[in-house]
Amino acid sequence: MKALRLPGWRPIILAFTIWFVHFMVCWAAAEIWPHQWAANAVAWVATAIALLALGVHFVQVNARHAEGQLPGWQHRFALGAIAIASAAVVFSALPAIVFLP
Amino acid sequence: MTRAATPGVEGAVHAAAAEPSETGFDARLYERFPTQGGRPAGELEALEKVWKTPTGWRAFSAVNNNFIGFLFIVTAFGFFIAAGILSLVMRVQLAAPMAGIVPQETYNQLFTMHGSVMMFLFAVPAVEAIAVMLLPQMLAARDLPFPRLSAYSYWAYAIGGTVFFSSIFFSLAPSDGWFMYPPLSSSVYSKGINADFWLLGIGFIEISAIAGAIELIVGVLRTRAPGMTLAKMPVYAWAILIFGVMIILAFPAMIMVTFLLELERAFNWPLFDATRGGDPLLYQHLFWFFGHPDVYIIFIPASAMVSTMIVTVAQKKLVGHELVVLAMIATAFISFGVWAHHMFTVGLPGLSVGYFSAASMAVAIPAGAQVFAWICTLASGKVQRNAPSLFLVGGILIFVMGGLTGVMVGMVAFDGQAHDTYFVVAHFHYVLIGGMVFPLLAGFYYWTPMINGRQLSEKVGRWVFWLCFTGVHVSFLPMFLSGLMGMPRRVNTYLPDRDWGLPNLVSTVGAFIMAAGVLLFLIDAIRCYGRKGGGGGGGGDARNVFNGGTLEWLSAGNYSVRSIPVVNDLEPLWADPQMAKDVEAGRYFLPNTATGARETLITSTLRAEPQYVQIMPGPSWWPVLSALFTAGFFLLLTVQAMTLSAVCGVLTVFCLMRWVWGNDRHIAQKEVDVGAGILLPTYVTGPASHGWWAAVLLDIVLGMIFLMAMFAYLYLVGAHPDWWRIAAPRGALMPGLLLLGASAGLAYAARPLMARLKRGSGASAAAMTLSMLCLVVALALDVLSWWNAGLRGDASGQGAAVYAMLAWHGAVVLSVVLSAFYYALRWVRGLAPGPANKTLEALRLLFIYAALEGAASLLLPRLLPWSGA
Repeated sequence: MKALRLPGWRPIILAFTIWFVHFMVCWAAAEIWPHQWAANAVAWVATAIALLALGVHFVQVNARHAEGQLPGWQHRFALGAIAIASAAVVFSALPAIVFLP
Repeated sequence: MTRAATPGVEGAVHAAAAEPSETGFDARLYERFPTQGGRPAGELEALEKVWKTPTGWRAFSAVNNNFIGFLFIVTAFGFFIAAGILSLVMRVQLAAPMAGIVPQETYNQLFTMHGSVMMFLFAVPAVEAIAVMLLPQMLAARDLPFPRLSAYSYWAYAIGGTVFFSSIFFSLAPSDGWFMYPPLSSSVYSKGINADFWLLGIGFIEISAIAGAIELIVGVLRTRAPGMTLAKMPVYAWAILIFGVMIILAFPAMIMVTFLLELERAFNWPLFDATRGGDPLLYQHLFWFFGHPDVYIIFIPASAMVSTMIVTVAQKKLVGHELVVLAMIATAFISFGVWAHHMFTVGLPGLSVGYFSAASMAVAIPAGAQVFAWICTLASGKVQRNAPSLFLVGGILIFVMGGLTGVMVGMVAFDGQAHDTYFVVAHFHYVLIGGMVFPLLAGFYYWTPMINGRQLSEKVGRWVFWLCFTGVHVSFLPMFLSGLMGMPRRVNTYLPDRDWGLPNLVSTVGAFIMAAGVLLFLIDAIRCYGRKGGGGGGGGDARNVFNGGTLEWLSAGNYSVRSIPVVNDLEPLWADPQMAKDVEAGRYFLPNTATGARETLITSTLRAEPQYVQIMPGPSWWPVLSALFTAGFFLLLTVQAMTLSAVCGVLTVFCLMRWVWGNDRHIAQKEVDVGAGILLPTYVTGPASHGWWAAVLLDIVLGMIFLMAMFAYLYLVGAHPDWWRIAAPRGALMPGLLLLGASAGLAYAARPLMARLKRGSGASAAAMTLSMLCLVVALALDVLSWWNAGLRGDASGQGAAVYAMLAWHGAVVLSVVLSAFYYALRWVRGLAPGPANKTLEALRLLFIYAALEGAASLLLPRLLPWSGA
């Protein structure tokens, strides 16, 4: 029997980790540059990068599923995690659009 | 000889064929189960003898999860009662304006102890205690993988908690609130040792929680019944896995913040003193980075208890099982992004509070998804009407009310009005009572037959429910009103003309109604558990009175299950009605004691494929003695009895070493028959070993603690750069990094040296000793360079932050020194044999981690700020 190449939990954790890193970057920028455009700009860029990363992750998860490396529930969990993380990234970024200096 | 495959075996073989193996185990071997024919005479008796709990005064040396778990639950509930009594005194004081039942200082101690005890001595320990008792049964493991660690965790908690609580009887209890904010808790405003009791007591209890969490994570990942893949794992086991991971990520912040405040109080290092380059907001950030996830650390396992019980109550599989698991994972993650919603009113930048407000509302979505799954399961099933179901439904209702008011206070504008008022008090009591206390009570009614073969009274249970349910609303609903009317928290009295008298009087009546419910429960529990005979104490005949489908209902004794079944369903007992009989007849894995010692089956992390037989340690005095001396060390430190404290510290180290001395055992039987002729090894090292996983988790904990120290440094640099006045001594950088690189390299090389050289065992011991020496010299170089540069800990935020980081690193280096000594001693006694041994595997991870930590403490203050000062 062939050994599993990558742990099946990694795609789930990765999606939420992208959200967490995005959140921390946005928060740190707001603390470092309070009431300045830089904080908002960092948040916009971080949001674009985070969504892009989630998009790439989505493609990779589907590709691994097609190759049979990510079977059944792991695939469903990974997709669910990406969906939740994407929504959370967008939701977290809203203040950067609404609250301008 | 086999009969037709059971649904569990057939499903496990089928599932294994569809997916690649994780370990190379041939899943077709499962087809040998259930075996046929009788088992050898005396096999069960031998099993019972090996797992027997010591009696009399030797019971203190017991380490079995049933025994320790039960004590743990009883102790946690005892603290709940004690903290509840404190709240009743507060409610009497507040029943009428200008009452004089207790003086103001005593009142301050009461609310501080009520909050601290409920959060640190009841809520987290209670969910951990239930997991200690329930998890092995649910996974069909014989015990948790480190039973002595469970015992240590319990005794540390029980001894430390009791002494901490007793402080209130001597007016030594802390009085600065359960969060202990500076500057109020600094030595300027909180003189005496009251605050130190809190800091050292709580820090000590955190260590106990982390020890338990490591054990539970390894338990979930490595001791599941064969075939129980992650997809087939009970939702409760998922929750405990998430709970454990959250503890090892969140609790380090608490350990670091208590460490920093104690440094400030003891040595006048101004970490939180804004006049000297510190910042009180740093404390709040660190505290709430622990504090808010802590709420979910409590809620997630309790919610999984609800999910487990609702399946039985509705006699229907959980609607959206995968969604519920995903929701718990999402909740856990997002809970780490909401900590500053406790700080909306401290003057954070507007954008910053916007992020935390958004995350606070977002976290309600996955929590809400779980509630919908419960409602759907109940609505589509055939609901049993009994005491557990009443507590479940009542708890959901209360929790939803708490959750919705949580969304309200998550809004910055509203929080500005409600912050520090009784509205918030009502909100979090609704959340915690609905999200934790009611599920706990439901759990008592649900799992008591599993524990002692009897049921708590159904009739009394209904009375308990209605008294508690009514009491909660009568007590806390008016608090929303008094909060909106402007009544602040933590005041010991109020003026008559504020119109707060009536809602407060009603709240007091409600508190006593709830107390009556708890008292009634206590009487019933004593009646039920106090009776002699029957199957008490895990001694046998667990009755599945509610027709539960999960494996804990197979529990037959201290050894959990007679034999460990092959599982392929979320409710295996529903899928295979014959399973209970086959398990009890010893027709599955490990029907005996294969090595003559306590043992359990270690399986792989994802697919639960059998890997090896773990020989488990039996009863021992060392865990309880270690806990006793650890408690002595911390508590004597609190009262500044330095010599006695040092003696306790030395004794703690000795007991810990003596405890683990016998754990790494090579036995003559290299492989044993685990049933049906399947042979598995008895000794495994490296990533396949469960001990290696625990060592990695410990390093993660240490890494998180140090990460918090680095955060503290960066925060203070950012907040008060004007206090960074000493130029960083960069001359120490290169020699320090070389020494640390050598240390890591030597520790890494210790294993290949052992495996490849003729005298490899001695070479590896020498490499480990040299590695330790390099670490010590690097630390000394680091400290001396700062000292010679003129940096002093009490002079500025810079000095305090740098030396705090180094002090923590020094503690890690001290543990490395002791470990190196321990390993050398083992080598001298011939207990460090090649080609590999578990002790070396665990210690080299610690040494490599310590070298990395040393590099970080060397680099960070020398590179940031780049200007040097």
